[in-house]
Amino acid sequence: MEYIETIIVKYLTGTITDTENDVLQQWLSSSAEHRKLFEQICNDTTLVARYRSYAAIDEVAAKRRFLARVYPQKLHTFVRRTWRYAALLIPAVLLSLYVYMNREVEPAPEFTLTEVQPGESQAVLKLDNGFEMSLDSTSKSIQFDESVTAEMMSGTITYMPRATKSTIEYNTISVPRGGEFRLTLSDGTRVHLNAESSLRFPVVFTGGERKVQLTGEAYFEVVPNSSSQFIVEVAGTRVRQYGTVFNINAYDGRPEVVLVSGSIGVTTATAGAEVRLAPGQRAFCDDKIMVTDVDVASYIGWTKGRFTFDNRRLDEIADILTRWYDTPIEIDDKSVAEMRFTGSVSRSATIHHIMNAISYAQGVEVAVVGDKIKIYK
Amino acid sequence: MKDSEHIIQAINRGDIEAFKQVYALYYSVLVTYANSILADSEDMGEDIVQDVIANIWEAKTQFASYSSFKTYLYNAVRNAALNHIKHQGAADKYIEYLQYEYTPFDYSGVNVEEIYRQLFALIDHLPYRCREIFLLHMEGKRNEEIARVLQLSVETVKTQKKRAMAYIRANIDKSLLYE
Repeated sequence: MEYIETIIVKYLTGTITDTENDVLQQWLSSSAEHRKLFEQICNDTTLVARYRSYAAIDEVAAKRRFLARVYPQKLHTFVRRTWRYAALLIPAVLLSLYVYMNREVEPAPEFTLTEVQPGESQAVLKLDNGFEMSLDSTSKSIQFDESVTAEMMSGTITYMPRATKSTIEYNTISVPRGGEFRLTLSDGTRVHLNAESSLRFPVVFTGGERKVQLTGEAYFEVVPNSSSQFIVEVAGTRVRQYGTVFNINAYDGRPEVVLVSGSIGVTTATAGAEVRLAPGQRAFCDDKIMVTDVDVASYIGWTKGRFTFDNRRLDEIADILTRWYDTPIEIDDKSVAEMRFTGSVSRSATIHHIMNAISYAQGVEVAVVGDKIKIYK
Repeated sequence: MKDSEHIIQAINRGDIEAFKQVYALYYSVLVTYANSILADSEDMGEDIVQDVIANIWEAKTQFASYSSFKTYLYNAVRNAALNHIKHQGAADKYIEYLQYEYTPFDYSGVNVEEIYRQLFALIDHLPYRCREIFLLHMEGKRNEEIARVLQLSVETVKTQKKRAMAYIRANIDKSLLYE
């Protein structure tokens, strides 16, 4: 006999069978209280919001915390092992003691970690004539002229060409810290812009090339068109696509291009010949172009609403979190900055989830000091 | 013997693997439950649930059946949350109200939290796009609306919805226990 809870779940998800529905109806008709409860559940408008907060909870980090608590002997080995190295640290301890004695009083925390909200859909649209418009999640329609309109809805903007044009007009969409934005260009190509990034593109593509300029990070799903190449120019690097999905991260001026599917070619001013990437490869563009095989998931996790870190340094992670949460994070200790963290956490949660995960996994402390977050031993 | 009884025997033995499974199955939904009672002091939910589970391990609590284990989890979390509020000096009347409002087992004998748990575990395991579409669908949005919001074709929305339901059908009976 199945539990009534499961039958209700089946009803809610529209997967109930006729026999189960009979059971449900019988259960409903057996008592007025059953009916009342059932109606409450069916009309619960907070269900999805409740799911979102459920999904933001990191049960893997919690499990690790539990294991650390019930298996303290593991910690003992850690302490014993660490003790051997502790002697080496005495000068450092003396130094920090000195610093501590001479410290200025630490500023009081101005917020708590649970108050640091994640980024949201927001951007600024700049037209050729200098006119600026702020974009958010509201719906509106932007009329440029008879040749093109743009439709905005829930954090995306879609350019819809109506007629061809001879003069090329450019738009720039800039996303601030704590933001992200999606757009569909006039050829149907989709671009997801991450925080602190911008894209300059022609309102309507014309001629034999579709060329856009990027700063920061973006994820591209390019609509193939054999008569018009799609080219991304980013920090002195050109990414030319051949019908493709890829991610470009150029926050530090050295573009990192990861190919998800299709085929792209990468050139830089200094590297000379074009380097072709196969899906699952990453090109790191410095003076030379270096190609390695990577796990694509950790590079595009952000487009799916997650932070996915695969053996990333804490100082790099701090930069990424600062851009999304628009809150400075400081790591003074070099050994902490160089620690490596692996894990995946929802981007829609407040910052304390990821901070907890890092703190438990690496055994570091996280605290709010004044207007910033500090990670330390 | 059913899987559900196996896991209870393993918990009674103090098998760490069974406890890991409890985290995968119950942790998130218990935290959501605790937080719904705690309202203002939301960051306590995780601590409360941690204590409840760790306490089972430390006190070597034994359970007669899977359903008594479930009852214990929800009740223990609820009581711990109410205690926390009491210690913060809430008025007796408020505690009484909460006690009534957040009984996991409704007067009809149905465990509402258990409905959330099964539903959320199923949704959580849908592929990303499928899940977003299904959530909008559960919010009562029509196919056309969903297609517009997510910039997909109505056909894609329909296919993804079908995929979601097929997945749920295939996994719902397992979701009682496994994620």
